[in-house]
Amino acid sequence: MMLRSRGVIAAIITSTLYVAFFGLIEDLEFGIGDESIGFFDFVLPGFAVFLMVYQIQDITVAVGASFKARGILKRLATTPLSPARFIGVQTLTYVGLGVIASGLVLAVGKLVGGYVAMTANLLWLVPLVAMVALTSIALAYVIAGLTPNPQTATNVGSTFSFLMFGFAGVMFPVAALPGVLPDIVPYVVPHAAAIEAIRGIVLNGDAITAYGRQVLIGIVWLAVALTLAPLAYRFTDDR
Amino acid sequence: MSSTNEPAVEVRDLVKVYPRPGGGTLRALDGISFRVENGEFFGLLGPNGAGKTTALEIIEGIRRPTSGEVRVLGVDPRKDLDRVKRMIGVQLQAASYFSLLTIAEILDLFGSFYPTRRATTELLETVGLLDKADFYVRHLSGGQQRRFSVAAALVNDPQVIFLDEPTTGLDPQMRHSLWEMLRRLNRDEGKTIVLTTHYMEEAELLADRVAIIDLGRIGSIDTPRALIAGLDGQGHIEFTTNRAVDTSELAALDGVTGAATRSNGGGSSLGPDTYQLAITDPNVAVTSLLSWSQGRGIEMRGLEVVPGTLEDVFLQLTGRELRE
Amino acid sequence: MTVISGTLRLASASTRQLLRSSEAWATTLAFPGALLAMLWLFSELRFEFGSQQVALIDFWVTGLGVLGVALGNGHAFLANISNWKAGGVLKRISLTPITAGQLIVGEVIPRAVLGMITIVAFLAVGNALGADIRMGAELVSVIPVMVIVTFTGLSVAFVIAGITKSPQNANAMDTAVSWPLYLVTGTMFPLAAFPAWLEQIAQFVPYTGLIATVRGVVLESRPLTDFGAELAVGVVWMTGLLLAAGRTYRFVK
Repeated sequence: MMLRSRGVIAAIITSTLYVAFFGLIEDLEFGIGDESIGFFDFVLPGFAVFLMVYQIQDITVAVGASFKARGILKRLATTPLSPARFIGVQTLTYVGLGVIASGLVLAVGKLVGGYVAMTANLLWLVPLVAMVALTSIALAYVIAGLTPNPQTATNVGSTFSFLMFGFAGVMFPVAALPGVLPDIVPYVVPHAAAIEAIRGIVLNGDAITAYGRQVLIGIVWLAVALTLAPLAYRFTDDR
Repeated sequence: MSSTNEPAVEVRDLVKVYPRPGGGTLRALDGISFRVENGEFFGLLGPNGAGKTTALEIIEGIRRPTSGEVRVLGVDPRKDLDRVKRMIGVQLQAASYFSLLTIAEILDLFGSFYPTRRATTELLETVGLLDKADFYVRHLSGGQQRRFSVAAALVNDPQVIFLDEPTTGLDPQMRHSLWEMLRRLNRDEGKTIVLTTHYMEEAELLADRVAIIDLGRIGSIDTPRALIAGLDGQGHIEFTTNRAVDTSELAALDGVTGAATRSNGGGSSLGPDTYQLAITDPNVAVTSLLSWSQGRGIEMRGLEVVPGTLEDVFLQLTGRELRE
Repeated sequence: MTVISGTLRLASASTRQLLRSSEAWATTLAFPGALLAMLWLFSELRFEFGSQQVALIDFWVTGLGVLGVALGNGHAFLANISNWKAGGVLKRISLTPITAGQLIVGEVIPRAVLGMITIVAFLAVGNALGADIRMGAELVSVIPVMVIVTFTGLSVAFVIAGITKSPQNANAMDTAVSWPLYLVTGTMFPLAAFPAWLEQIAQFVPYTGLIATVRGVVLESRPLTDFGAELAVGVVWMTGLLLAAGRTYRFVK
C-alpha cells in the first residue's frame, strides 16, 4: 500500500531531482568570517538524508492526522492493537524506504559532481539514516497526535521540517551560529548530531568510531521520540 | 417576463448520457418530458440513481443535457442562464456554505447578488432560525441546516423553487416541520415548487402532481390520488397469527391476488411472521380471511387493511421497490 | 447589483473569513517568524559566488519574503478553495448570478492586501534583525511588485483547484509546482552561481524577475524603472494565469 502511494514515489523522484539540480551549481560557497566552504559538497550529505526523510515525515504527519480526524483511530481502539504496535508497523516500512532512497540520492549527487569519500565506512550510513528516519517518523506521530486537525498538523509539520533544514546542519553550517549555539545545537536539535556524523563519513571517509558522542545523542533523541509518540498519538481521547 | 399561460417549467425529451469508466455509456436520463404549472407543487418521486438530481441540475442550468429542451418560465437556461438564475431558488441535496460566515452573513451576501431580495430577518423568521442568526452553519443541527438551505433558496424571492431531497436524513419531527414550511410557501405565497424525493409519504402529502421516475424514465405523471386509484389492486392486508400458515392457501382466498410473508425476527410478541395479502376488494378479502381462519382454528392478530400507496404504484410501474 | 458591487461584496465577505481564520493567522505569523529567527541566528553566514558575495539574511529576507511569505497563505488558500469545489460551496455559488471571475477576484483582493502588509512587515522586521533593507521610499516601490506576485500566486491556486479532482490531488500538484519555483527563481540561491543557460531560462519563469526587482530596490535602492523587462514578464504571467483561473475554476458539468 505504501509503495503504491504516489506521495512516496513523488518523494523519491523529487529528492533525486533536487540533488541533480544542485549539481548544476558552478560556483557557490558559504562564507563564515574568513573561511569558505563549498556549497554543494557541504549540503550533499545532509540533503541525501533529509530530502527524503522530511518528505516521509510530512507524509506521516498528514496520514496520521487524517486517520485521527476520520475516526480510524477510534475504530482501532476497539481492537487489541496498541498504539505502539500500530506506529511500529507503519514506521518500519518507511524507514527501509528512507535508507534506500537516501543511498540513491547520494549516488546521484556523486554522479553530478559532488564529493563522496568512497570508503567502506559508507556502510555506516545505513544505521545512521535509519536512526534519523525513525526519529523523524516518531516525531511526526507526536505532531499528528497533539494537533487538533489535519491542516494544523500539516502546517506545524512543514514548519518543523523547515527549521530542521536550517538548524540541524542540513543546509547551513552550524558553526555559523553565534556564541555558544554551535556547541549546544547538536544536543538540543533533533538529527543535528547524526547529520554531523553522516557528513564526516561522506566527506572525510571517517569511521563511525570517530562519532561516538554524536551517535549516542542520536540514540537518545530516538528514544525520546519513540517514547513520546504513543503517548501523543492516542487511539481515544481518554487521558 | 413569462406570460401567465406559460408553464413554470417545461422539459421535453431530455436525455443525459455519461461515459462509463470501463467503457460504454450510461443513460442517466432517457428522454423525459413533463410540465410544471405556475403555483403548482410538483414532485419527482424515485429511488436513488433514478435521475432526479440530474434532471433538476439540468433545469437549473448547472449541468448540460445531451439533448432535449428545457424552459424555465419561458426561458432556455442554455441561452440565458443569467436570467433563469435570477428567477429561481435552489436547495441542493448536499450544499455547503462558507464555514466562517454566520448564517445571517451568508444570506446577506447571497441576497446582494440579486436585483431584488428578501430581508435576512424575514427569511430567518420564515424558516424558524432567527435566534440562530449569529451561528455558523456547522453549529446548526441537521434539520436546521436543511431549513437554512431553504432560506438561502428564497433569498431572491424566486418564482420557482427547486428542492432536491430536502428531508433526507431528518427525523420525523424535523421532516414534518419542514413540510409545513414548504406547504406555507406554496399555498400562502403561491411559490411554484419542484421537489425530488424518494419518500412516498412526502410526495403524497405535499405534491399536487407526482412524476414517478426510475432508471432515467418517467413512468407516470398524475395527482397522487389518481395514481393510487389506477392501481390494479386496492392496497393490502397485514396480520400475524399464533402459528405458521401456508401462503398458497391465503393466496387462493376470495378477493386476494397474492400472499407473502415478512419475518418479524426471533422473540417478537407479534409472532414469527407478518403476512401480507395483495387484495382487490378489502370487504371481500377480509370476510374470506376471517372465515378461513375460524375454520382452521387460527388466531389472527393485528389485522390491518393498508390502503394503496405511491410505493405500490412504483412497484406496479417498475417492478422494483421504491425503498431498496 | 453591478459586476463591481457584487465583487466588492464578495471581497468583503472574504476579508471577514480571513480575519476569522486561525489557519490564516498561524501561517501568516508562525512560518515567517520561524524563518526570521533562523536567518537572524545565521546572520554571519554569506553566499560567495564568483567575485560577489551577499549576506544570507539579505538574500533570503528578500527572496523568501517575496515568494514564501507573500504566498504563505497560498497552500492553506488552495486547501480552502479546493474544498469549496469538492464540498459543494462552488456548486451553490454557481446557482447565483455571480460569475466564477467575480468569485476569484473577490477572494484575491483581501489576500493581496494581506500579502502586501505581510511583505512590508517582513522586510521591516528583517531590517531590525540585521538585514540591509532600505526602509524609505523603496518599501513603497515594492508594493506594486507584490500586487503582481500575489495575484499570480493566487491565480495558480485557482487553476490547480480547478483542474484537480480532490483537495488531496490539489495539494500534491501545488507541492510539485511550488518547490521547483523556490529553486529556479533565485529565491534561495543566487542564479549567478548556476550555468548561464539556466540563468537565461529562469528569466521567463514566474517570479524570477519580480524577486530580482525587489532585491534591486530594497538592497541597492535602484528605481523600479530599471526593471521594465522583469516587470513586463511578471505582468504577462499574472494576466495569463488570471484568465486561466477564470476558465478552470468553475462548476458546470
